[in-house]
Amino acid sequence: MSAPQPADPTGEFERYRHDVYAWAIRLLGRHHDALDVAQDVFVKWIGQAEGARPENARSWLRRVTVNRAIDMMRARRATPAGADVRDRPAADGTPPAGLAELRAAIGAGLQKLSETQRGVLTAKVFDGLTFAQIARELDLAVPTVKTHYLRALRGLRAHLERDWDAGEANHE
Amino acid sequence: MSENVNHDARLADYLGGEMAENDRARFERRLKDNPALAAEVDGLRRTLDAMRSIGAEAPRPVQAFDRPWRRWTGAVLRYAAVIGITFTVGYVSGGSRLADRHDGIVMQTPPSPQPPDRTSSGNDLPSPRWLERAAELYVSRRGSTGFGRSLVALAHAARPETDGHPAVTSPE
Repeated sequence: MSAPQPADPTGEFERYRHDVYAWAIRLLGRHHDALDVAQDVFVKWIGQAEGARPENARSWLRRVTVNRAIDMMRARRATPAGADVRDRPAADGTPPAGLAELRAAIGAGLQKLSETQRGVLTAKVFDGLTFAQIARELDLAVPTVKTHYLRALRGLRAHLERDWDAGEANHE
Repeated sequence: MSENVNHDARLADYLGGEMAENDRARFERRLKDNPALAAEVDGLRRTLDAMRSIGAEAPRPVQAFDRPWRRWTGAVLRYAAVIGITFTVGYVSGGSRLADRHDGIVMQTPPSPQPPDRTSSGNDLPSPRWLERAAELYVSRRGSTGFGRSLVALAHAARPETDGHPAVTSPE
């Protein structure tokens, strides 16, 4: 009987690097921040002991990427370091779309959700998985996944509405 | 209780785009008759739209990932720089000294093959010892990387050879 082959952590890098970047850039909006997060996430993945690596790499990578991006957004709010390039006014004077603010609000809202709710919501919205796929990925029953999805959406809506209301009050 | 669970499951299916066509039509008829439900669905849909909108403009990943040759460019340039500098120093010091010696020799004896003068230092020509010092400095700061080891090897190669060849003095 041959010994089990050691898993190749760089295989996950090759397979998921674009996904990790895509999850990070959604929340962060800045190329270099997303690259930093992707690097941190893969360093953490490779640094894990071989036997300790989770079976579902994609689910783990998505969860850690979203959490790391939220951490970075929180740090960025503490020390603002410039705007998202795509949030700057266009050359024709069109006002900025406020994507940076929206990202910050969504990041803050996601942070308030439970780990499972956040995982379900990001898997559904960012990755377009079905409830059945998410249930398999997270080892949950499908009705439980739907319940988490709805609770996550309601929690995020409440946060965003508070944020939007506060924004409107500030403008008045 | 079970009605609520069914309601949430249907709502999750509808918002998640996983409802069959005829169930969807029935659910939308219900929305028309139920303004409270319609308002809730509208709020949750806005939340989903907000989450999707931050991903819609995410740039295509990842130029740095897509060009693996970039990983090698820096190292190749560093090696090329070291080799270029070494050849330049060798050419300038060796060539100039040979020219000096040739001037002296023409006055006295026919030129005979002699090992180049690589031991003298402290004159106005650059000494190859600077390369050794640079190598030591690099290794002390950056550790014994591949580049550092190459630099040390080049420094050793450029070191004055006093073992095999006695110091050659300029002809009187």
